[in-house]
Amino acid sequence: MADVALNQISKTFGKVSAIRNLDLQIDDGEFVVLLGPTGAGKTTTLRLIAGLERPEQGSVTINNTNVTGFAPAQRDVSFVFQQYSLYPHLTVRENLAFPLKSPAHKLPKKAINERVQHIAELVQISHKLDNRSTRLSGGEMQRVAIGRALVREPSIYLMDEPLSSLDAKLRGDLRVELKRIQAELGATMLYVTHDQIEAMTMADRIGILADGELIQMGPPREIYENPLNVHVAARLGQPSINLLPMGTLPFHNAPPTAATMGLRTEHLAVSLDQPTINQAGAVLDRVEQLGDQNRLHLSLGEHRLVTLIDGVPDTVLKPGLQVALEAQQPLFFDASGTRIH
Amino acid sequence: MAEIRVEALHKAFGDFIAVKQSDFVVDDGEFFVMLGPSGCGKTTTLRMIAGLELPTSGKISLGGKDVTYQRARERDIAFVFQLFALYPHMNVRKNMAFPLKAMGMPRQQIKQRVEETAQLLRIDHILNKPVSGLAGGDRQRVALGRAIVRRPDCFLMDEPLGTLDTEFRDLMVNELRDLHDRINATTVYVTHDQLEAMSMADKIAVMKDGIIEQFGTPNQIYQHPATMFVADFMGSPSMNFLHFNGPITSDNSSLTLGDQLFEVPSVLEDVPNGAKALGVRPEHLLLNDHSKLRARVYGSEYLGTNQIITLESDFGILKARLPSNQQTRIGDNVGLDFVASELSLFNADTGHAYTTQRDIKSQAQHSGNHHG
Repeated sequence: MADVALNQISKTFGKVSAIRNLDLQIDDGEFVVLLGPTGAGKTTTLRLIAGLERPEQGSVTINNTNVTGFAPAQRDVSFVFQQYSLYPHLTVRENLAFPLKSPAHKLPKKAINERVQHIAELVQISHKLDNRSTRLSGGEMQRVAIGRALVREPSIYLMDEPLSSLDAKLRGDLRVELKRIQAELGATMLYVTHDQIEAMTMADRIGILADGELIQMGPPREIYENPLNVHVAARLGQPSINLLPMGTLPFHNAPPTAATMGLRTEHLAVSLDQPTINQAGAVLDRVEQLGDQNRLHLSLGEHRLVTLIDGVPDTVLKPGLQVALEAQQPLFFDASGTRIH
Repeated sequence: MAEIRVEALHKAFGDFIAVKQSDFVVDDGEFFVMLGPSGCGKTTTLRMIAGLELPTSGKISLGGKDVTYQRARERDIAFVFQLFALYPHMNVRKNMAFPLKAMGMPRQQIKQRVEETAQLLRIDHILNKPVSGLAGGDRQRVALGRAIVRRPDCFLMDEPLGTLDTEFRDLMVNELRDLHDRINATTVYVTHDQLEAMSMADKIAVMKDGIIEQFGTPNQIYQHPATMFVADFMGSPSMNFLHFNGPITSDNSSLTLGDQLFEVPSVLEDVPNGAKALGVRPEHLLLNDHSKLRARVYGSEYLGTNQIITLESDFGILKARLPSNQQTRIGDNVGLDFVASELSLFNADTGHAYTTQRDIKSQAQHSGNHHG
């Protein structure tokens, strides 16, 4: 495993700028997740590291070696794609062993067998090693695809939304597994996704990518609690952060240049009493009952908010209910959307 | 009036039974979701309501009228296959007018209808803009506008959000429900995504192998699952099952797991000897050092407001939803406890839930609602 760095990388496709001045450092053994919507430049970043794209500007270094001019095969990276692509005519065992049989590796048979067995146990497919790869469920196929990437010990594993084609339940299970496997192997991993839950739950550090630029990088808790701007604040958290113009909710001691108040559910106190001087009255439009939580959809004047509520019986929560809202240590943003304190 | 009544609806394709003796009523103005894994018969049921498929037996009524063997175009319904493709070379107005033009509606009436629909969706200010320059949210609203501009009494939707990014999906789930609250057209919506169902539905039918396993409000289904299949399908992470064979003792209201006695809601029916399962939602699983039921912390997933802890126990892998400030470390040995009043009990052989004191209480509350 190794340190991987992108230094001032820019990449355009025709007139479209896909990546702009990207600096990214991934430490040895680290699990980094790039989070962004479709078109943010996530996949392009992976392809630049793999050598499938060449940057117009900047360099890629792996273990302090500049590999910008290297062909993909010379870079020693392992790539897992969104759609599992297994060899249909081979068994699970043969699929897993395949990357080790290439002439570049020249591993003895015994070593290959040991490695395949070990990885099969890690991805929990060892009971199906002799099955044809076509006779597996979707989740099993994706585990084999991930396993096939893991049999090698490259400088870095690059993963392009490998769980997005799976159903919710399986995705939940594989998230925990992938994090455990990565920790167990001490693997360096760069994982891209548009799913904030994957980013929050697996990453040592998250990079927030938007329109080809890296906006903020840090541990999940830091990004969630201390977003640098409105965009980052809105990327993480369910329900997503409520953004209100200043003056909508009373608050003392707000920074003078604040234009917007950001309120996550933990920044909002909801009570069923008459509003006091520190509160504002809002009307309940709808209760979204998700089982483990009740989401309140509220109207505060012309603004709409969503927040969670605990400990109030369902029978009380009817549309039209008047509630009082109070801001508690909200986040503040200036007119340009930058976070201020 | 567009009440949909389905009675003893049955559909076989050769030997394969796709829908088995289905009965349900969707009240006028209700948002009804048919939920289940692929192959459960939800789309077939929808297609029979639409008239795209004829039932083998049974009856379908729309607004009190028997339409079982009527053709699709004789029913006042709109079938929404996919919301989200727009014609890139047309502006917003033309995109939205397209379905009305295709129907041959007079031009003046089209103009009026498009403008009304645009107001409803709060996109009237962008009617003359090209769709190519629109922000994501507005694009989706235009697509939705095109789907609803015909204003039928009843919408049928087959996984319309299936192909969207999670972020747009959340947005559209709220848009769809908002819109429903404004126009109140009876809606039948098919999905395999339990979160979409919970977010939008007034009533849900959970289906499996052509059979409706449970029909009820989202909260009834989540809190009082009728079967282990339903309990497992609803919720993310899904319900934990702790399998045991021992008796439920002292007036059917306690049981022993891993040397620890736990109180449970008292069971109101005879419990035969044999395999049983205690059902615990992740938010009702607690850590308690004094408990003799032990587990090892296997992983933790930070979610901002809360966290999911994965635990390895003698009863298999369990998941707990805890406040995100509660500290645990991987490898920690912890004791497990439950919120006694919120537990479910199942016959693990048949998969059916036992009726407990808890179900009776909730029924009393619900019927109280009707009178109040």
